[in-house]
Amino acid sequence: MTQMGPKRKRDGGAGGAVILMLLGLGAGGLVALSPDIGLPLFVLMLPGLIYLLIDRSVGWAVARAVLLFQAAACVVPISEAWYRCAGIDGCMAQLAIPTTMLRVWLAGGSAWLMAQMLPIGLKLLNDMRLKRYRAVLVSRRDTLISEWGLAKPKSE
Amino acid sequence: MSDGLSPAQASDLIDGRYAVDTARPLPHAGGGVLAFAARDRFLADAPRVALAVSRDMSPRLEALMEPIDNLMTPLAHGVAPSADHKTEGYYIVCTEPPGPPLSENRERWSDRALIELVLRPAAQVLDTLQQYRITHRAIRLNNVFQSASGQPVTLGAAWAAPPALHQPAISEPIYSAMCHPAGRGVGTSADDVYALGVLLVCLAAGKMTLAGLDEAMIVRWKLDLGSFAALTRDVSPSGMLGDLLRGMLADDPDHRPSPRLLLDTTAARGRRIAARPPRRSQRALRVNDVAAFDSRTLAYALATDDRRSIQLLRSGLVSQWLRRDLGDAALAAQIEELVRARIIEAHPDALSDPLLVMQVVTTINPRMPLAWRGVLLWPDSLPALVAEAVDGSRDLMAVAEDLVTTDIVSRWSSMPAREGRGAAFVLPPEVYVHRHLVVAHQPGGLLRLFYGLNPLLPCRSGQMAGAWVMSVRDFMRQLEKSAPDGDTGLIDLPLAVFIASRSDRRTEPAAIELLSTKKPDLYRQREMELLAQLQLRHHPGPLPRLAKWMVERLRPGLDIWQNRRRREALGRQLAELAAAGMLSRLLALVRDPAAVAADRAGAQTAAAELRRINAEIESIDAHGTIRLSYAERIGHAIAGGVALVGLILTVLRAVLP
Repeated sequence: MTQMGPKRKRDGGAGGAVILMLLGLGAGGLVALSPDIGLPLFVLMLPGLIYLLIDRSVGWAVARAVLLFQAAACVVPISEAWYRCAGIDGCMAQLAIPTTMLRVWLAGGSAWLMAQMLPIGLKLLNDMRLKRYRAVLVSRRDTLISEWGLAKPKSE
Repeated sequence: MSDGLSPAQASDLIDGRYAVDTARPLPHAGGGVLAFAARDRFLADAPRVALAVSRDMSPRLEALMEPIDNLMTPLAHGVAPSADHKTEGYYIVCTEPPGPPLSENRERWSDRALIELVLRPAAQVLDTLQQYRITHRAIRLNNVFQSASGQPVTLGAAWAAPPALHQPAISEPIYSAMCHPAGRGVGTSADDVYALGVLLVCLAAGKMTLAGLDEAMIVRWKLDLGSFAALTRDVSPSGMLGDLLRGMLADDPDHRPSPRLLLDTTAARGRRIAARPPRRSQRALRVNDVAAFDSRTLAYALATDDRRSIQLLRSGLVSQWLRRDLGDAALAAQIEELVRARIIEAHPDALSDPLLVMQVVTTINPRMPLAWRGVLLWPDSLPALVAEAVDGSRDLMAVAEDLVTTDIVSRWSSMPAREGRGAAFVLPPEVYVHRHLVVAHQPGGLLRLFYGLNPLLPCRSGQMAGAWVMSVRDFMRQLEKSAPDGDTGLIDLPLAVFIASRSDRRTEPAAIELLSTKKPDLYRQREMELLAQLQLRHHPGPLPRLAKWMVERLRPGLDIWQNRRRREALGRQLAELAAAGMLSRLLALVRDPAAVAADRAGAQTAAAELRRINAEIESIDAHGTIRLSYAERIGHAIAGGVALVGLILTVLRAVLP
């Protein structure tokens, strides 16, 4: 696995490696079985692949989500084009049309957006929970200090 | 209360019967002792006299008896308040004197009047007292009373002070007169006969004989001339009276007639015992200002100055004078032997020289009282001596300590040469009980002995100055009256000594423990524990003021309780219990070991919980970045998962028909 950042560890773990391996196998198999579909598919998947190169998240988690979303968006166009197009030009004409590309790329963008928003949401939820828990702790601490004459922490 | 008396009024009565009117002093009734009018609740027409006991002079308890004719007999004794109820005193209630004292009357008495109105009634009284084994020891001009001319005299009271304490030297036989006033001891009825003889001489002369001489001079006159000759210098008693007086004033007590014999004046007159005149020297041996011409004057002179005596003895002047001038070689040899034994003594100590003087004095004159460090005394006067020493006489303090801590008395008493009062003197058992305290110089050792030997004398602490506190029960009562409001100590050293002396054996160790406590905190704690013990054992009633004081003392101690609510609750409970006045309950409330242990355990648990909470809060405050990173990983994982699920579903939808 390539080290993408100088300081950030990009170890996605076994799961990430498996997925990437599957992606690589799928891409390789597709090029072997139908090279004419490979190029348009590469074009459709291009944002995710580019993001894979610049992704700094652990285990390329964001890029992985983007690629998976794009892949899911590509399944229907590819399955429709599988028996209908012939040759690279034909397949490019059928698959690399703006509507399909927009839909696939938007799917990738949605994945990216979701990957950005979910941590923030989760962090906010966790912070709210901890704030309530902290208030309970402070109240209990004040009770103990008042009840037993214990010393307050220096930071207070 | 019966007879219309309130409980407070009844408690003011001595023996529940006698009321002392301290607003009505009777200046002539006490024979030198402070006296007040008293009233018998059951015999309104029988006025009584209350003799005030000094705080430093033990009264004579053994003197209580049935009324005796011609004697101010003691009827009861006890504590009574002053007229303003601010102070208390101890009084001995006696029958009243029939009239003024004989010292008010300066007429010369006839021989017949002396015999019929003075000698016979007084001898009858002395004979009765002798049957009770009591001596009077206070027969003197101002303590003998007569209702009217021609009436028999009445002997005054002698019960409010140690025997012969107020006797002038003239009224005392030589070997008693030369003693310290507090050291004259109980004496014998022969001493009373002597005093009666002096009284007769004074009445016959119509004046006090040897007036104007100081006590030391009177003793020396008596030694030089003999008592009879010295006392009758200015009087010419008739043959009958002269014969009686010669016997009564004999220097040797064995030569004096007994009181019973005096009832029969003819027989008493006929009892003549010839005393061998003392051997006299032509040349005097001077000891300070005393010129000794005979051995008994020499013994007296040596006894009164220890240092000079040692010089004279060591230089051999005494034995030389005895041998060459007095011609008593046997006595000189005895003295030389005593001095030689002292010189070759292997391990002389501070007692060696006084011991030598004591032995020499007794050897020279076997009738001499115990001579120790320049003080002459009879050992049975030890209680009065200790009282006088404790009152501030430093010389007597040293003497009393020596008498208590060493075997001087038994050594003196068992000297083969000794004669005179009794065969042997035995110190009171209290001396042996408290001896170790004085020997070890423990705080208040001699004071404890004072309390032990003088059970009726009150507590000497300044805090108890206004009250007559004899027992621990009185002490608690007085402490309740004078308990301070603030957080100040109550039991000082004199009080602790008093408690140790007058409490029971179970409380005594606690008082001794308090005496040896130096740390202030521990002293506070033991002080309160001791008071609680005293209340339980000696004063079961409530002591609310003392309890209030104790609450103030206990409040700072509540700080050991760490639980605030419990502490506040204890404070409230203390205030409630203080009203009930039970000291032990207050202590039990604060000093419950199980509760204190539970409080400590709770405090430790609370501290541990606080540490955990602080750590958690600190962790919450400090780990925001970590949590963000964690949220990122989770969020990304969820996004990846959703994407994968979406892919799988799409593929399935596309593949499946």
